Amino acid sequence: MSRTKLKIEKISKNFRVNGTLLPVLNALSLDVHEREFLTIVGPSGCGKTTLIRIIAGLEETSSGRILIDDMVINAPSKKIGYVPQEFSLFPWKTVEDNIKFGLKINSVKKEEINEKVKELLDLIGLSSFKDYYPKDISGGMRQKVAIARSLAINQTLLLLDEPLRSLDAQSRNKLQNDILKIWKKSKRTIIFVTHNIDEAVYLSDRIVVLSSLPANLKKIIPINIDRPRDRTSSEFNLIRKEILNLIYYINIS
Amino acid sequence: MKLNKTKIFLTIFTIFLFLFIWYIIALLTPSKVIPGPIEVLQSLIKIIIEGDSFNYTIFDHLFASLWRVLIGFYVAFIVALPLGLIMGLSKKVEWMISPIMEIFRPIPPFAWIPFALVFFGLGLFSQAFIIFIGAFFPLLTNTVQGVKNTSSILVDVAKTLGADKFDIILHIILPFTLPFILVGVRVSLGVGWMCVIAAELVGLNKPLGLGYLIQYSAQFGNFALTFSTMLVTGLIGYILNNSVKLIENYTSHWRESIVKN
Repeated sequence: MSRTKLKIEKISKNFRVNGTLLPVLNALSLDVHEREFLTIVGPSGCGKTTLIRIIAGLEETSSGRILIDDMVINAPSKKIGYVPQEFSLFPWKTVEDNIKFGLKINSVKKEEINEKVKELLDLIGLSSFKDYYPKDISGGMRQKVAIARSLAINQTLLLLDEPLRSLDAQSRNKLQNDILKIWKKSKRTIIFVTHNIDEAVYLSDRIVVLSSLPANLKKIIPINIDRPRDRTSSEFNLIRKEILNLIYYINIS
Repeated sequence: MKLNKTKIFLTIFTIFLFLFIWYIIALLTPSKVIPGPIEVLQSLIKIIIEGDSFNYTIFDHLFASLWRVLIGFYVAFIVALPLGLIMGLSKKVEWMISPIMEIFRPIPPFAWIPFALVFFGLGLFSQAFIIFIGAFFPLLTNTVQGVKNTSSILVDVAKTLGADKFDIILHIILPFTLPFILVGVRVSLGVGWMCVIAAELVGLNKPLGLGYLIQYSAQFGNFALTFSTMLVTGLIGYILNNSVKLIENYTSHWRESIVKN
């Protein structure tokens, strides 16, 4: 097993709603390995997005701590990229300028920026769309640009919060393959949130099933099926069934 | 763009209908209180070529009024923009300043005329001040709205990409707010243009300005000139409004994505 990229140590998070405390995360611990594709699933509104935002450094924990490469996170880190559900591209910037953004504000040299952007456009297969504005490309393309924007500044852990939610089933399947390709080539660690069990089983090295509020670890399921995976195979569906049962059980209990 | 024949026909039709009704009403009104369209056109040509009794043409009046508007607007712009930005960014500043603004905002700009005359005396500053009052609030409220509406997702993403506070203001909040600011510009120029006409009814030190011309011509019973000046006033307001609209469309071309999805 490779080394630990991200260490989540007993984090809890409470929100204050109309004066009463609402516990969202309850002493959650989890290790994410270097270059792992880890997916988080769980019932709706179980605090997945909160967890992602805490890892991104955008939200504070009530207790516990998170370490990336053995360093405690308490603010947005240049190592951690964040790709939210949708509308995360700067709409007034072209595809190319979106990817450049992080490099520019971190004062990277011009030649270096251009080289990097060219390489990334190539990786995500959108070189011919570099001058397009976000409104003129598809939802799937937008998400790939958002991923490339993170890769540009060498963020080594990518947090993808339901990035394919607004896509239709066919584009979704295509994008899953694209993301796997980008993940392999760029050698990054990915934490992926989804509601789609099929997607989780297709993509992940491990799947984390969360309980309903306050969220805790229900089960971690390793997927030891070779890629590319056959969505109709019996082993694939066995895992799907297991997860569905876990989540369904949570929902009715 | 596709030419819409029905639209063009209807537009031209109503213009002619309007001119015809106007002509009939003018004909039926005794003692020329309402001048007909032909007299108004003649008077317009006269003021363009010959000018008024001081030999000022319509353009002299027009530019005098425009100049007053631009000065008042300019001052309003450089005050309202930074203030709106700070108010949108900081809840505390907004709490401090909003109550005062909310009391002053409903006061019609014209209510400030006596104060302006006492404080600034007759002349440019008085009128520019009235326009400042009229132009300030639309600019301020639109800027505050724009800043507050800035997508929190974009701000969050920028933070994770290493943006500091200054980067966020410069690269996220300002571009996002620009369309709102332009709406403010358009509204406040419109208000400013209305204000200048009213402000010119009093407090002039020179016989110049469209507002002055409207009042002066009416005093002397030259209603054809009054009407032609009113038409020019309307036309300039229309041009001001649409020029800013063009800039709005040009700079907001990326915005469709927010509306559409």
